[in-house]
Amino acid sequence: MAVTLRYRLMWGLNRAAIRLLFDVRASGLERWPAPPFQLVVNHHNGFDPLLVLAVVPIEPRITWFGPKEADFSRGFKNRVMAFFGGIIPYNPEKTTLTSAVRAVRRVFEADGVLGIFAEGRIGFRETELLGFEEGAAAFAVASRIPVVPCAIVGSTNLWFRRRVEIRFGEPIRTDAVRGRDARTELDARIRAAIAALLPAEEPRLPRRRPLAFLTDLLNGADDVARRDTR
Amino acid sequence: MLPLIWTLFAVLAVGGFLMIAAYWLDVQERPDLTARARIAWSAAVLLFPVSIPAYAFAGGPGWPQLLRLASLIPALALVLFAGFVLGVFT
Repeated sequence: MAVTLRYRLMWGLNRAAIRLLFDVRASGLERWPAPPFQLVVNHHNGFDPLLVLAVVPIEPRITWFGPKEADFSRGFKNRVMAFFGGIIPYNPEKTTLTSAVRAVRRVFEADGVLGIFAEGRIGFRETELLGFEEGAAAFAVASRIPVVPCAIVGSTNLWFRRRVEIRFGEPIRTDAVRGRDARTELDARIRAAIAALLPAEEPRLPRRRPLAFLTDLLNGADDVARRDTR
Repeated sequence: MLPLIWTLFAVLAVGGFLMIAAYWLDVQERPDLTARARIAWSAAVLLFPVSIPAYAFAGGPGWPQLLRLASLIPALALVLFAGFVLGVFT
């Protein structure tokens, strides 16, 4: 995917802002295969894509699949996302899978990276993964490109200078995957690979958490309500 | 010199607005504050050049050094603004 001047500017601004707000660190970047490939990431917070972008190189450019929005011209967050670019919105009620598949194919043809939050919604425990949405690795299998598992650790509760780790696992090849059973097994392998990157225990939260409002700053109202009713 | 001071003011003004927002939201999110203290600190936003540093240094929010220093930004922006109004920078 082309790295435009606008993307370069937004990438730099995001990197500066996120690294000022949080102590964000990456491990396993050296495991990245040559593009194209698909990143499968766990999801704990609306900040997650920005946290990943703050630690990865500007190229290959990451395109994120699946914000469940149809109209990005409304709302501050949506407008910023649309300006940043690099998103493939997919709302099953309003957009067709065909157009999304076409957009994904363009990303891979341009040697880009597709990022996907396989759980489809945010989880509230650092040590657990929610169930994956169907076909989390379907795009990678269809294009026979590798999948890189990625775990974001520490974004469930955010505060100023909170340590957040972005851990990348070994790439998983998909070129030999044929048939439904093999795809199911691949989903399980990806899930196990991400789970292996997660911490064994829930972190103990400090009593003082400066600017703790950052936790819900980019979370959707439905996500906050879901957490508060648990 | 004047363009430099204007640039500095613009940066401090934006930073000042962000600090006021950060202060306000931090007060609302602190679980250890009593309702009375929360209302008092919230109302004190009207005196933001004084109340934000007071909160940062003596209000017990546990802010790290960087944020404590940043709490002075609104006051600095206001000082520069007063300088413009009084014609100190010509």
